[in-house]
Amino acid sequence: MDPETTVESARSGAHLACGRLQIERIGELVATGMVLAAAGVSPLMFVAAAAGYGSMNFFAKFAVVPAILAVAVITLVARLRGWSRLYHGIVIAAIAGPLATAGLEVVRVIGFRVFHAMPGSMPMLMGVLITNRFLLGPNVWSDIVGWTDHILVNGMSFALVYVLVFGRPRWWKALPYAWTVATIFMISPVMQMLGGIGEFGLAMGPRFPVTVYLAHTVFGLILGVIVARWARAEEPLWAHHLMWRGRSR
Amino acid sequence: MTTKSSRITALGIAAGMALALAAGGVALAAPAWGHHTGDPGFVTVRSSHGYAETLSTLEHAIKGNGLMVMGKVNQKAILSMTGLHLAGAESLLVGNPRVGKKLFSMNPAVAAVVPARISAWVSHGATYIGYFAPSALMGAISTKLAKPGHMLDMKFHTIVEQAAH
Repeated sequence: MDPETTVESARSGAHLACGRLQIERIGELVATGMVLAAAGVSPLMFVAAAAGYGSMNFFAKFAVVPAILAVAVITLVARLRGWSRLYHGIVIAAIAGPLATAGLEVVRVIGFRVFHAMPGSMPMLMGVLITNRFLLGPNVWSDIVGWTDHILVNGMSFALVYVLVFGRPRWWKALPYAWTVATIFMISPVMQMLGGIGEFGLAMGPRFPVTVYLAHTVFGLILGVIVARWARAEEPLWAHHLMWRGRSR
Repeated sequence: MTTKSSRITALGIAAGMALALAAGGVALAAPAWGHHTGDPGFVTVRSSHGYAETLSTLEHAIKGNGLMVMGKVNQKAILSMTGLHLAGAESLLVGNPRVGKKLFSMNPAVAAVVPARISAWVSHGATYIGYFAPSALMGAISTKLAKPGHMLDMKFHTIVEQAAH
């Protein structure tokens, strides 16, 4: 049964439908929480490894891969159970996240190659750290792993958080979201992993934060436009569940 | 008399300088076995092979002389991540558990030197092999370690000679 129809039935006072509605909502809400938790794993892996809690190789095998599998299973369950709000949120994040990260990468690569604004290639670094071959340097496999983690996994993770927490806000609301992500990145222990370039990478001069903010601006623009245009649920599930009727627009 | 003496002195100095320059030139141009560029005994030799072949023969020579390649550091590949593209630069960490056991029993501070490192790199189109003489580094830790260090020097000499020629 379509959830919107279910909502209408419940409002009309159909007792059984009302009970069904609550179970379905709780299930979808719990699943949404699980997807949000899983979405945080890959971005946190870099930070946790940089902070010395373990190797990227360890976190990738025992945290990121299970998180990816969990999201895949929940997506399937959401599809089968008709949790359209969650299902479409995951689908739109799977499209918007990688596209937005690809846009981010265009700016970052220009900053790195042309303006020498970055200490190195982040995806290549992630690849050699995840595949545990830093001393041997990158190869095709580590590059595939690094770029996949950066574009697909991290990109989708940040898009999932945006869509599931904020629903379908106006496009420009993705900009402060992206700038927040950029700021947290630049004050995180990851800066140490990039060669001890200090908070906001200022050891490299203003080129670093300028490139990072520009890259995340492009990320926010692409993410914001795609979500505002194609996301289905106007309100996030949690707001719907808690009967918070304030529009997120 | 004074003028003639001055001329002879000047000629002697000039000849001496020319000899010194010539010797320096020969030293710089030579393949330079045991060419020490400074303390503590950095030895470098020019390989007659290309970079890849030098690395391959070096690894083979290490194994053929009773030592092991315990690890590799591919500086060429690592630095490619920063945008620097080198023609070649790689270090091999060389050791032998049996020798290591003996050395560490004598002085655990030898960890600062062992496993030793032999590197190959490309500079101006030519491939070089280089290492710090183990005796110099180990002798700096303890005079007791100098003797096994000299034995490793001889091994390294043989290894690099086989790899470079």
